[in-house]
Amino acid sequence: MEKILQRFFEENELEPITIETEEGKHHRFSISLDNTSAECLLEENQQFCSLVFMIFLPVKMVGGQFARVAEFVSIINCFSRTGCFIVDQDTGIIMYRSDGLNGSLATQDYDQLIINIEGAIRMMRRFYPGFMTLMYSRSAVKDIFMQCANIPLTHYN
Amino acid sequence: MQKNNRFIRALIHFARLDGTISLEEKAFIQNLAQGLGANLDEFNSIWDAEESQPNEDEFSVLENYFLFDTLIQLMLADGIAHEAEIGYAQKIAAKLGFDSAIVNQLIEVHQEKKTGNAKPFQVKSQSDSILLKSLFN
Repeated sequence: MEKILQRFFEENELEPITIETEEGKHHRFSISLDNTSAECLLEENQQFCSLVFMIFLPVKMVGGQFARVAEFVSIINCFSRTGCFIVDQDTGIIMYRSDGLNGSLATQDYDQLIINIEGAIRMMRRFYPGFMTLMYSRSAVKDIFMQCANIPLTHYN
Repeated sequence: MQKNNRFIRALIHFARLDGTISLEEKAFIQNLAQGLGANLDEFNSIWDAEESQPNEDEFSVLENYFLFDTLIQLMLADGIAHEAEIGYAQKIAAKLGFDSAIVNQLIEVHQEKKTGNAKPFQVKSQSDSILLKSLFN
């Protein structure tokens, strides 16, 4: 697993900040996307031999925005098969968590790791504008979801 | 008119609201137009066309978000967000159906993107501007 991660960081010229804990290693790095940048956390759990990739969206909710965003997230998560959005009510932070295959089915393959990470990035690129639109306009959650879902990203096909 | 041309036209309209467009701002719009598939002649014809105010229902709310987000990037093209520009941006936000607080949030996001240490992550099998391109074609 260590070699997989080393290759990933080298190939993408990433310089992560790595923190070691009893459970494993946490690698933190920033990536730049279409119209924003995001903090990423790659958790390497030696005990369960798992990799979890998380993207923190540069969005912080306040007050009444929470209910609309929570409804939006619950709709997205119903359809998502590769991970889920998580809303932290205490901090107002939205993140996307892409689970590697845990335990005995853990990702041990470099290509699979890349697929997981790219999948998470696509979810963020698709829905980040929806979060922003929901938070700062009065549009219906259902309408925003449909508009985000219909962005024809060619690599989805 | 193609939707991406209408997008560029709306952007030019809003960019002119404060009275001037700097060279950096024009270059930014030109780059964006090229990214959306317009050649130089097409861009010049959009630039020189008689100005008309975009219709309120011309774009969906998500497209309005992309338009406004691009406008904020345009505002920051010369590196500084002037007080007057922020004021205009807040008026445009209201016109497009957004709360004025979105202005500061987007300024923060784009300044962080410019000054932060985020590395571009190349997702394979797609171009950088595919999202905007596919949305407006």
